[in-house]
Amino acid sequence: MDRSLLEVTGLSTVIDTPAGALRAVDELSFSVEAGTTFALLGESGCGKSMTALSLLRLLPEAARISAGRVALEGEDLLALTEAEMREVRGGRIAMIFQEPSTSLNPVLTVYTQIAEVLDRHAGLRGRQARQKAAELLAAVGLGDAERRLGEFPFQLSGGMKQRVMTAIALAGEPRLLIADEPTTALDVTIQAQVLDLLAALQAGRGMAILLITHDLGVVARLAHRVGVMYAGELVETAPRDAFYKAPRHPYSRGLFEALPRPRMRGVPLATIRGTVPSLTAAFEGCRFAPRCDFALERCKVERPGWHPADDGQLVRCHLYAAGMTPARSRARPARGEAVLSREAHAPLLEVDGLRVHFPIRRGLLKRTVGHVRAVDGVSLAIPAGRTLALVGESGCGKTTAGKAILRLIRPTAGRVRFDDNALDGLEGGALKRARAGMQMIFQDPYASLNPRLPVGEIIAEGIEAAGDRAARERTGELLSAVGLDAGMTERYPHEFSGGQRQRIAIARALAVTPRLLICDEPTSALDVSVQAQILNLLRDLQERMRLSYLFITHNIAVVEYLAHEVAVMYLGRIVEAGSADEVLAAPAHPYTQALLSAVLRPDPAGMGRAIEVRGEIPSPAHPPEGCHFHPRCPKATEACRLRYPGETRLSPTHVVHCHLFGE
Amino acid sequence: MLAYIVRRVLYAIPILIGVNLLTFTLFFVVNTPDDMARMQLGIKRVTPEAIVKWKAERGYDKPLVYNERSQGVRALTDTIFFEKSVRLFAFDFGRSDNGDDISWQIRNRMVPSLALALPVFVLGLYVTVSLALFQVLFRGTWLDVWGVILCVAMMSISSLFYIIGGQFVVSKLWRLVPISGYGEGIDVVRFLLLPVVVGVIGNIGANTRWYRTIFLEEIGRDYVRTARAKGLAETAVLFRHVLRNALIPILTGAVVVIPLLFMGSLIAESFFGIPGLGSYTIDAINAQDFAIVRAMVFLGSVLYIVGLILTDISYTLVDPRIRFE
Repeated sequence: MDRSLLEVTGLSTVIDTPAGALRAVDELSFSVEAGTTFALLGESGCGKSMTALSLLRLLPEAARISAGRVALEGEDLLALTEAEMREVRGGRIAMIFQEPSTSLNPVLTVYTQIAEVLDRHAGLRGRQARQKAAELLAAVGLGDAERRLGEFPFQLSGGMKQRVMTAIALAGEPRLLIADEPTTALDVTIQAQVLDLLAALQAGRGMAILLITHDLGVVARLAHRVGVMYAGELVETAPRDAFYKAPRHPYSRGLFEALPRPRMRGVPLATIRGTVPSLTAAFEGCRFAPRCDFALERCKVERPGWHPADDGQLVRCHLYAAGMTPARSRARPARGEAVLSREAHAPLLEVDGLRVHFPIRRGLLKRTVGHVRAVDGVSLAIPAGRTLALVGESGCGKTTAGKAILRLIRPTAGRVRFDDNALDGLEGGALKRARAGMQMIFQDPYASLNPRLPVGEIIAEGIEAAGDRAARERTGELLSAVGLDAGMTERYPHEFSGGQRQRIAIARALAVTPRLLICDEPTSALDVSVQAQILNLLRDLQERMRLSYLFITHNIAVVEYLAHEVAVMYLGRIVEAGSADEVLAAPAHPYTQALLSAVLRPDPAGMGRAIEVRGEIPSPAHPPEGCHFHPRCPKATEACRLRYPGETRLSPTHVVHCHLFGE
Repeated sequence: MLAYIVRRVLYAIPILIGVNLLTFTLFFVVNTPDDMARMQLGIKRVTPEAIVKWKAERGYDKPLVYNERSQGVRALTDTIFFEKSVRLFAFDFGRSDNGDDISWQIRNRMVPSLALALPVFVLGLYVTVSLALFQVLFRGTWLDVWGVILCVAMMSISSLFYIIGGQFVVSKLWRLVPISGYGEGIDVVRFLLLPVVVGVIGNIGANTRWYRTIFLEEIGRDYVRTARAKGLAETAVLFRHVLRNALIPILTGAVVVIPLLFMGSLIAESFFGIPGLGSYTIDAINAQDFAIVRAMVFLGSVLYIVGLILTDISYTLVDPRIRFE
């Protein structure tokens, strides 16, 4: 039997914190075979990135490896000197990081950053290095390599930067590539491209990949084996297909059940109660026991060992010990959408021809030489108690549209009617009163709450701004409405977790009893299990208070779960809109089709090939002539090059802007 | 790029007019020519005739902004405002209150000022950046900790102490260089050695600490982790990656003072007896020679504005993100 390429045995990494030693990685053992992908799956704080940095011995200064063995091709990396270790880094083991825009040096050219590795590990310089670097760029699918070599990272798009990162990693011809959330910061269509690239490179080079991710969709697409991490330790390892067919550990199952899926519409998502335990404490029993629905007495006192399950899975859970019959997952009727009254509602919010153009000023006199058409004629309507999802990739103008509806940005043109009041032309106090029924929830709950104000004041501020002086008593009430303890008003935002903070942000928005919430990617900074809690809360609030939501997101799974209506945006315009069933089940516009096909499904079998979308989103300053999508569209015709397609009605609710549908 | 520079230069014009109006108001309206004359002639028992004579000799006898007795354009030009303030725009500084040509003085005194300020600036930058890099290379160790303590101690000590201490030890006790003064030709080096060393030492504490902070901020960035993951040695990471990025704030912070080097150093020049613009200004203040002070205030503003423009240009040179915009 041949040896594994990478063998990790009993690896423990400790971070020294003021609260004591934090056991970020605790007696981790796994192995990666040559030419295969092993995925470490887990939520934030489970220790998966620390594991990756431990393998390369690139830990932050407060962290250290306290025990274990990391063997690469039989050689113990932990016993190497620092100089020997530098031979390994970038050579036999290379790494790709999550955020391509900050992981490349902003002031060095692409060539310099690749050549560094070629010089260090392959001894290539000058002409040879230049040629090799161009070959590497071609290998990662970047066209026009010679020009790209001379460019700086800021001149490249996110997807191109991640390709450059990959080229840098490949330059040392690594035996093992560690990819830490390689696609998390990228758009859906780009994600699929990068994952396919990694798979193709692996097949061509026989390189092993250690994939670090929180995304079950990414694992399904790329991994051969999966290891699930929880609170610093592995709780389950399995071949991919077996894992997706039947995840064994209660935590793994919880992760799957927390995923929003179309068939879960109208049903609360399963959540994992409680929070991840602090890793500074010593554990006695199973770490997951306090949050586990199947916990036995034994789980609280005895640390479970590894037990085999069928299909080659190994589970660290007492339920799989010899003689136990594992409890089934809580049965959950997969019923369709709870039928909401379908009668025609007068729209609560009506937006007509909304435009936001930002001037581009150049030259000596700062004359306006053009406009960035961030939002270029967006019309939509939301009835009371319904959810409209505004879907699109980064830079399509969806966030700007949301802000312009609230008049946080002044629209260039267009009408906004809310609750039968026209908002355009209103100023000062009148505007304030007219939009009092609209509130916004932002993406990042870490940045959107003032860190210097106690939670009670954050919430009361909105009530007081709306003119209600005796409002402070209501803060407790609002906190309980979003599922927090009413007595927490004196605490500060940093004392709360990400999910709790987003609840606070929702409580703040609810404080003025709004009728419409504009939610801008409210769950994209959160873990899956926490996302489920927030989605449940939003759905619950909608039912109780008949709230309307404008849900701005790129996350199709969330849209499928929550939205009644969907509008798809591309380069500042809505290209397709309709009821959720129509748009998601029978997408008409080629862009919608491509977007939906690129979504990574948490199911290795159900994943077709993504419809290939060439290239990147063009700049909204110079949108292509004719249909904006035609340069990337697989079905483009001559007509598409000439003029922008008008509106075609496919059903009373379903409209599309595409020449493929009659005129 | 050219349009950008032209626009920045155009922006400077209203600022200079503002500075000019402000100094005119301060020097001629708040503090009238009569006050100046009295101060120059001695406060006590000054006859009105003496004041009129003093003013007439120096051209301060004209009206402030409008001369009713003159005709046409002369009504505006034959005034204190035109003669004393508008002429500054043409760098015509006129004569000081005791009669010498200020422009001639400035031309001659700029050279000693630069001879002191330029070496202090260049050497200082080199020494402090090196020390900061050294500290960062050994960050977290005792070398770093003691380095910071030493920096804080050095920045807490007044620069006067370094000057007087240096003069006492090096010149008086060891008799290595003259205490003060200035010479001709190569002899100058003997006189400048101590002031330059003292000037560099006086800046070490504050600047090293500041640069160290910039380096440490850069070293925590993601691209540094990428560089380490390439297998580069710590020195390569520091010099190729961190230094390049940290130099952007350091250089642009330093460029702004380059034009001001011409103005020299007020304190060091006075203590070391160097006949530069700094000591010229101090002497003028002591002698209450407002003509010189006014010229120096205007010159300082011009040079500072030049410094700010140079800063913006240097950004575009060192930072590709701005260069390619």
